[in-house]
Amino acid sequence: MTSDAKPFTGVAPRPRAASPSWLRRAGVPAVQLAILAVIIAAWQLCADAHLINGQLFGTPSGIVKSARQTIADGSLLTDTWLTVYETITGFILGTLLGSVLGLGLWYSRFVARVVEPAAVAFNGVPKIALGPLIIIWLGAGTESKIVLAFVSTFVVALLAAYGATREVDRDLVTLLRSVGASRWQIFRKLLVPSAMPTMFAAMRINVGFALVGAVVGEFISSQHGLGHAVFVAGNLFDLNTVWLGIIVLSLVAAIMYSCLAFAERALVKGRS
Amino acid sequence: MPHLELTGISQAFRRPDGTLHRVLAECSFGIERGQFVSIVGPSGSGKTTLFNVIAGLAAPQSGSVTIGGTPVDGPSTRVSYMLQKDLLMPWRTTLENVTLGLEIRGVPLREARRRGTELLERYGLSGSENVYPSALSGGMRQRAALIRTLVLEPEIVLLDEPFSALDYQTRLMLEGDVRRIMGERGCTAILVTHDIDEAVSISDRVIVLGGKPASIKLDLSIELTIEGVRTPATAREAPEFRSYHKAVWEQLDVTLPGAA
Repeated sequence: MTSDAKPFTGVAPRPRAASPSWLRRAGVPAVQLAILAVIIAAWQLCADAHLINGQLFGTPSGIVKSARQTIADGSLLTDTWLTVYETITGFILGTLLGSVLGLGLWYSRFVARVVEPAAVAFNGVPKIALGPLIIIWLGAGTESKIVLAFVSTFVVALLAAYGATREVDRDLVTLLRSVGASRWQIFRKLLVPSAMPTMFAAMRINVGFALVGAVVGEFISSQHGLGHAVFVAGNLFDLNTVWLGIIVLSLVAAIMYSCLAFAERALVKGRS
Repeated sequence: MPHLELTGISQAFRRPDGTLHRVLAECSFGIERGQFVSIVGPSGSGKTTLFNVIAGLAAPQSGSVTIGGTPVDGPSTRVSYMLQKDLLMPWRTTLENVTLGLEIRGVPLREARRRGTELLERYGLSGSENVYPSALSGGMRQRAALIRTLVLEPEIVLLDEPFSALDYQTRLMLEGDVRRIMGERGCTAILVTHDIDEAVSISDRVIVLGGKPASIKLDLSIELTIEGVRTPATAREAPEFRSYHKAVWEQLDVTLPGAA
């Protein structure tokens, strides 16, 4: 049971190959930034020297110019805000409804057995394929993007939460029953907290899915949003604006991951 | 009147092919208040089945269980149990794990925390109240599980091989603690085990199960001559220890499966 005690082998652990001390002192972020700087500089130099076609690949200076322009005319902020709004709304709705329903299936094995095959089948469908339907039904506005982000995340959250309830230690259920716990108490004090880590794992996957849902919805039909901006710029061979959209999208994803990691640290306790 | 009385307990399960698998046949015995009794038998002998029947987790096919004359027909607040697995919830601190049962029974939080803290202090876990189980050693975890059992103030404590996952030293120490604590609190204790040494050294009485379906093959009172305090170590040195051990061993008639 004492998993923290290392087996005694009589041999001292071999020190790992040491990286140079200046590198370790600088730390991981500094190295990452340095690599990024080298790539950007090389990219710019190659374009300036006409080693690569700046028109086809875009250039760092062109991306900065495009950023200045779109910040100045306000379109970058409105597009970003819109896409973030669609993504987060769809993500929250999908995660909440999916998790609640998935956990709720624990209450009825009958309903669970009815729902499970449908959920598994729907999970296999690329949700993007639903895009045309949803846009025809809901129009080209934000609603259709929210719904696309929602359907992209809902089933993942549902199957994760339901799967987690099935992993719960049966002896713990018996223990709670033996002290007189009601079904609701077992749900609240055992099912929900023990499903939490799995549900967070599903949420990490769903950040990406929600973004794909919103952006692809904008690709198909929209007037605004980062997906719209990238799509239009691509058609106009304005590669710098495409890059800008990609960079902002990855920042959005990174920020969402950080928020999620923060929530996980606050809500999932006692994991070593 | 015995504190706990089993009368003609039989239990059977239906196999998937429809035939009846009889596990226990006509087991009857009574246990006096404050007695420490071990039930020993080879694996698959129905020890855990008997445990579940006494705990009220499973109804027997026939026969009855009474505690202080009252029939058991479901989990009772007078009985509390402890298993080989500590079953501590990783997301709860030691204290929160200990007070779980009180919380479910609706004891006010402050009162529950007070009672939990008091027992943790008394039984050697002070300082671990606000630590998560992942930071505790196997022995400490099992001790926390014991305190979670005791805080419910049961009259009868059922122990299903609670020491078998521990290393030898921790095990001896915890066996001694459990016997002493049961005595202090006046609890009637029933230990299910397959370890003869453990059963003889810790108990006032050893009941051996055997046969298929299992019935009581031996009911042995343990009286050890010990100078000083009875601990698992001193009990093993008592002159009678070997003969009790031998008597139980002979009744277990251990054979390899298929060799008989």
